[in-house]
Amino acid sequence: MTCLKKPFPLICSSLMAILPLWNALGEDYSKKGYLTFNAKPLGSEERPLILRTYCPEPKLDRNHVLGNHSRGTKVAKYSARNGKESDKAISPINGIPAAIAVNLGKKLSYVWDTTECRLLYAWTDGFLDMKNYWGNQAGGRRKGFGYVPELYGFLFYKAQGKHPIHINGKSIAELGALKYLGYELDESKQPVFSYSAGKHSLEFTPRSGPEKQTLKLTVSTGGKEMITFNSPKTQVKEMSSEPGKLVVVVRPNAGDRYSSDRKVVAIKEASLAKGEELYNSMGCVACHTTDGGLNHGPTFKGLAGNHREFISAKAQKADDAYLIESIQNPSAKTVKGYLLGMMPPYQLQPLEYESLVLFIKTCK
Amino acid sequence: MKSISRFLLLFLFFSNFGWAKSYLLEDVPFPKDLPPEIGDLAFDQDGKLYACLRRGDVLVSHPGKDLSKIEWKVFATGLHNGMGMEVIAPGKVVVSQMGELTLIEDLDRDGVADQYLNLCSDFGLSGNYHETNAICPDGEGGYYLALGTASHNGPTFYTSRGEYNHDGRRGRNFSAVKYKGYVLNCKKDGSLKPYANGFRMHNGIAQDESGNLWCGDNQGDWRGGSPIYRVKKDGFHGHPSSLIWDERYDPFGMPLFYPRKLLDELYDKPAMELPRNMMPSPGAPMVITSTEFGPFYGQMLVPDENGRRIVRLMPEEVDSAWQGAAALFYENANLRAGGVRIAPSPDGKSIYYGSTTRGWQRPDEGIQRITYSDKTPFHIQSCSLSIDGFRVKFTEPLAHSQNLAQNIKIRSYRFEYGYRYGSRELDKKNHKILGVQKLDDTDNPTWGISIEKLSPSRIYELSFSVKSVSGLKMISPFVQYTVQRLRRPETDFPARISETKRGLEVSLGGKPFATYDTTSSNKPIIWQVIGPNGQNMLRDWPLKKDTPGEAHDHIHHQGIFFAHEKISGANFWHIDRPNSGSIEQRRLIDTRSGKDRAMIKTLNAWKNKKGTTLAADTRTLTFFGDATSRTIDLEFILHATNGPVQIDPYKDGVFAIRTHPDLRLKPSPKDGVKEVFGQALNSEGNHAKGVWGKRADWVHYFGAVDGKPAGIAFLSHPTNPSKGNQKGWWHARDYGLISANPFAPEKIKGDGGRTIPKGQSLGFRYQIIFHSYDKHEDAKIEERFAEYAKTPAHPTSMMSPHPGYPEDYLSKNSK
Repeated sequence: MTCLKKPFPLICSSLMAILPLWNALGEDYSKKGYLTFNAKPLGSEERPLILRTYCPEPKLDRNHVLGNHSRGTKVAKYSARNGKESDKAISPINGIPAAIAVNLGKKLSYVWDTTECRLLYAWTDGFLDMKNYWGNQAGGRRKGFGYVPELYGFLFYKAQGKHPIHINGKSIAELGALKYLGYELDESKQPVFSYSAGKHSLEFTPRSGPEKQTLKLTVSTGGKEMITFNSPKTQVKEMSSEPGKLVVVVRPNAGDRYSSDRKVVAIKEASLAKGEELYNSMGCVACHTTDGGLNHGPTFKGLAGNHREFISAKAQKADDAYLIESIQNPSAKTVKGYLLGMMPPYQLQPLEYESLVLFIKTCK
Repeated sequence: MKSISRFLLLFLFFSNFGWAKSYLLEDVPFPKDLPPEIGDLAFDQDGKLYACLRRGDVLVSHPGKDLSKIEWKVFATGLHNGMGMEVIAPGKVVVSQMGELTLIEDLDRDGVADQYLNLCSDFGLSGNYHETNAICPDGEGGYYLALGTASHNGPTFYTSRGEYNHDGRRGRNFSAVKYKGYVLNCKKDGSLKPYANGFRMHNGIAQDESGNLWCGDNQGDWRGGSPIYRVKKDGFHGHPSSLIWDERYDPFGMPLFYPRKLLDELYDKPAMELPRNMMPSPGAPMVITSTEFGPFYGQMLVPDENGRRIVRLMPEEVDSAWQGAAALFYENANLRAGGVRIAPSPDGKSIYYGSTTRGWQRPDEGIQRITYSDKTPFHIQSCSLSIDGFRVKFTEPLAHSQNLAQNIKIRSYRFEYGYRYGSRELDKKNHKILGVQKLDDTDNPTWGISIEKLSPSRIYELSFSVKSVSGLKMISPFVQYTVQRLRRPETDFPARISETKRGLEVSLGGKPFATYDTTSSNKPIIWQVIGPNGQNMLRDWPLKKDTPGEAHDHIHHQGIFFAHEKISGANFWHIDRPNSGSIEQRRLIDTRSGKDRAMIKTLNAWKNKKGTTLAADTRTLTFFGDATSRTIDLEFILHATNGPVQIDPYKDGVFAIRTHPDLRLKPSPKDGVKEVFGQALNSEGNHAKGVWGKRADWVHYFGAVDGKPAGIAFLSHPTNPSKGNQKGWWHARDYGLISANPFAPEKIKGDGGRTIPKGQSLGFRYQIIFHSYDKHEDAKIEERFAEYAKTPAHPTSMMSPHPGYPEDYLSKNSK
């Protein structure tokens, strides 16, 4: 997008106003070939985008589809305040740890998992919104407590049941140890995945099918086994089948629309509870203790209302205005003994700042 | 904290003084829309620089003199937060992503990688954001892999990869899946073997030319300062969460709840503990392999993930471990914060410094190049520990060197080790300089600085206010030397340890002394012991059955051993009772060999007959000697790991020796012991049989063994726990058994039993001296005891109580 260069700021901003959708689709990657600050990168058919990352889990059947994964547990929340486990519990979140997401623009996105060695889901008209993980250009921190990217687009295929590929009549799930070997890029620059199941080696090539929202899947073993593809509640048409190689077209078995737009919930009043929630979810807890403990940033204990000295600004009392300024524009004043320019700015609702101030005041 | 503002003031004053002329900083440009979040940097043999970026791309460029002309091309893409990369050949790299060690290759040579092979993924992935990995080559076609722990600041997934452990998930930085917090060796054949554990976030690992492995660890819980580790094989580097995956610790329950003293005993201390205002978060160390980057060949540089500086490390080997000095190498307001990786340039004249801060700080991403201008910077070139102080060499001759003693200040402090995040400087001391002298006659000599009270387990901060002969000042006046161990004095009787089938054999001056035997009995024992005159000092039976002239009583009297008749219901004294338990060595923690003394330190599990673990012990045995005496020193600590440890009072116990029959006080002809040559005396003037059941600082049996003068003195340290602070109680018999018993029944004037509450530890110190005299006065036991009483115990860095922090992180947490 050449309009982003300096000489044409006026034209540039009006173009930006007229074509917000275009920018939102993140054509940066498909044009540039490298990942940019755009948290919604998109590939194209000419330039597929491969992104290995923690992937969203769009309600898959954990027992059959994610059967090789172990189960996380609820655990007592660790209180950095005093080194104890608190009475509150933290639950795990949905996410897939070791999968590879591939995108060809609006035409096709899919996620292939290296732990289950299978295609988990596929969708069109979108890809992954990485803002939870990549943050934004100014902030750099993830945006919430969970940081799994979010799906957006139209999900048309979800893996069902046990592993669908059958070798000589047996599902891969029953053939022995599953091992992901890697992938190679073919002439279309899309991946061909290799894995072994017991004594068998397989190559799996997922591609978009002949019609919109269909998939063409090729499975080959390099041997002479009979291969079939069996997925419950899914229409599968065999295009060609010979010993050691199978090509099928899979029709949609799901229809879920996903969006990653965040609804901003305006808070109605400042509260201590909200302040504590922000302290934990916005990441303040990572650098500021509440009990006097040492960390990257100053402790909140004894902060509110007390005297503060800065590296280059005049010393003053840490009143409410100072507290808010230090969240909105932390570089304005840096406390003596700490490093300059470390904390990113946080743009919050006015009542959110006030809630944080209420929370800081309780740290005596 | 005064020292923080001192550092800051000096930074402002010195930052562009002199060093800016020696090391020139340049920025390496990237396209403005590209986030250069550096995971790792490396050059290939053709001079091309690869940059592994955390969002997924690996870029390549050919940096020339004029960096503004640099062009970046995409080599590979789609990698998950890769924080480790090694270049094997042009177009062939290995990257450690979060979930995989991947071999990436450009097979068709079009400049873009087309094959991504899974070299290794035999470790878990919980879904937490903190589980990044770093690598370095192992020199044998494989890699060392550093797996960071997870952080409580982010969640984990319902569906994780690999075995999941709920207890491993608990705590601040946690290890819910294998092998978070470890260094592993991924061998050439793809097999993955654990190498060391106890790490928190060792963000970068490097191997030096001698094969030592180095890594830092970020500031955090269980870290007093910022540690730099020389990774010890099979060692534990301080952060307990990863122990959950180490089978050697299986008997002892949840590692986070181990008694504090136990963790302190298990901890393989770092080579350096840098103060947090010098280096809050070390990135990857880089070994300087170029002679064209300044006068620091062979030393290491480490970037700061939080600050705008690079620190120089000067490690050296002292008494079987690595430690050393650190000094600021480079600091500049224009250097990016978030320095994680440094790669040397192919021509050796520059380093490329890569930074990223996404996830913990305001963005400061990119690569900068620092080039040496051939103008020698002025600082210490090296700093080494001597017997009584330090040896320092500067990079240039000094101006006015006659006043050097006036221009050096030395202070020291220690950090404590515990679950809190960071430690303040404790026990601060200023050290008087006793003397400064030139150690050679050159223009730029090595200087010997001797100070008073040089002690181990402390960090020494040397500060210099000197100028070079050409008027240059040091970029920072401070040099931090972490003294974990002191230099041992020279000796004519070096103590060495060698492995044998039965255990570890200690020799003194080339002659066998004692064997620490972990195979012959149901507990570790010491057998045999050879006195300075060459005789066996212990009974052979029942370990060796055919020695004539020995009585075959008390089959459980086997060499030297530590046991008691009832601990939590199990009998560790007798070996053949229905409730007899066993003491099993779980880990050989440390050995020191080759100097004036040898040391063996082990971890042991006390189990009852069913195999239930009742307690743990850590014991440190020190062996030393000269022409006429040989000593075994024991520091023994019992830890209540699994529950309270109930010690019942019994007269038979606890630290015992069954001597050679010649040192008995009374013969037993019906048992084959016809003639004996022993006399007994204690510190209170009791003698012969009268030493039994009495309190004394020591007991002494002396006379002759095998016709040559010999004696055994058994000393109990005055700090040993007892009721009413009394001297030790002795179960010292006339037929060859001598034992120190701190748990004898009160009705025979002993200290009675006791219960060690869960999470607590109880320690004892004893010494056994084997000598070659036949008269008490000649053995000088009173003098030996006075010296022993003054000798401090092994230094501890155990966290002391803090107001507001639960003393027992464990006893209040039962979930």
